[in-house]
Amino acid sequence: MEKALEVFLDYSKVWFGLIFIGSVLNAVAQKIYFFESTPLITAVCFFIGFIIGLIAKIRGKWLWV
Amino acid sequence: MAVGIDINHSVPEEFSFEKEKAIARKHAQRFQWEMILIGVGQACVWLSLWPLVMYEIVPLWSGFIIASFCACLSYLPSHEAQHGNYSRGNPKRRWIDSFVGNFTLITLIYPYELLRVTHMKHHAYTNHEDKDPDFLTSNAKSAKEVILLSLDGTSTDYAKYKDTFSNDAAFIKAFDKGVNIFLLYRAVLMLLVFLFPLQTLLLWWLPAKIGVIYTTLFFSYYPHVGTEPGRYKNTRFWQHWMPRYINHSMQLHFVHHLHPNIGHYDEPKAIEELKPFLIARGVPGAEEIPDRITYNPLIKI
Repeated sequence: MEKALEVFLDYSKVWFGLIFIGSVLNAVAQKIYFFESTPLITAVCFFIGFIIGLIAKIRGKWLWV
Repeated sequence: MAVGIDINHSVPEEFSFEKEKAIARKHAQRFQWEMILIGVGQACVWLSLWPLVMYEIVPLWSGFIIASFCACLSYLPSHEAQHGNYSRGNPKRRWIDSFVGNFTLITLIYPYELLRVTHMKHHAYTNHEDKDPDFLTSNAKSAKEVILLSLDGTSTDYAKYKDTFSNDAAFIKAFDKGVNIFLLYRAVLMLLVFLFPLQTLLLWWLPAKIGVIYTTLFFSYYPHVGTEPGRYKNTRFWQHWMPRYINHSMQLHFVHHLHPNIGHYDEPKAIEELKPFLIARGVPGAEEIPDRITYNPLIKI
């Protein structure tokens, strides 16, 4: 159980990207008229969030500090 | 041994450490009710923003501004709690430290215990490269670097300091307790952002980031940048165009490092009285301290 939690936390940036950034991008996209008829926009937003989180996980940082 | 306890540095008897301590003790008695009002008040205002914004009584953009203001006010009341300045050693009042310390930090999304133990180490090892948890920000190359580190969330390498102080059982116990609260905060944040994405972004996450940047700049970077280890050298008096209440009087942070039990709002009076002691000790910038501390005593013109 502890090991599983450790692995889960090791990927915290990926979860943050997927859930937090994905949710925010999705909410913003829903408000933009241009994206109204775009198919799978929700999936695309969460995927972008996931990719941002994955890049941050690989780099160990969010920003270019 | 803690770094910088150089109290035996030769100074005339009239400026001895014992006399300095006696003056400090005089200013470390009063109950810090203003801080409790600010800490609990800002957290209540911040909590009330959620229903007000949800029911569209307050627009989200103004909620964001108010929440950011609350976040900037949230650290200092917790900081007083970290030093036990509400209970002042009275076991019956320790719950006030714990309550205010935890409650006020909701806005900043930071666990009180984690900040408390790392802050105690900051005081014990100020400017020590491997042991001061604030070293990275207080010795940053520029304010821009501090802002980027705070935004990135890497201004303090908590894992490193857990290793460094792994032999300190009390530190590890409080640290682990803080980590649990941190995980709880993260879980709540993820749940809220899934349900109310823009509200969570603009009422909590972004204001917390702004609050952390403000706190790190004015509490860590400006008071310590360019200083070195040593009780009378590890903090400086500095000048800023802002009236001191806007930057939480952090130009006077030096006296806090000397005597952390002096309440925040009693520091100006303490500094006025301690000024000759500080000059005698060669404190950086001590000569520029005005005889009477006003709203903006150290303004740079």
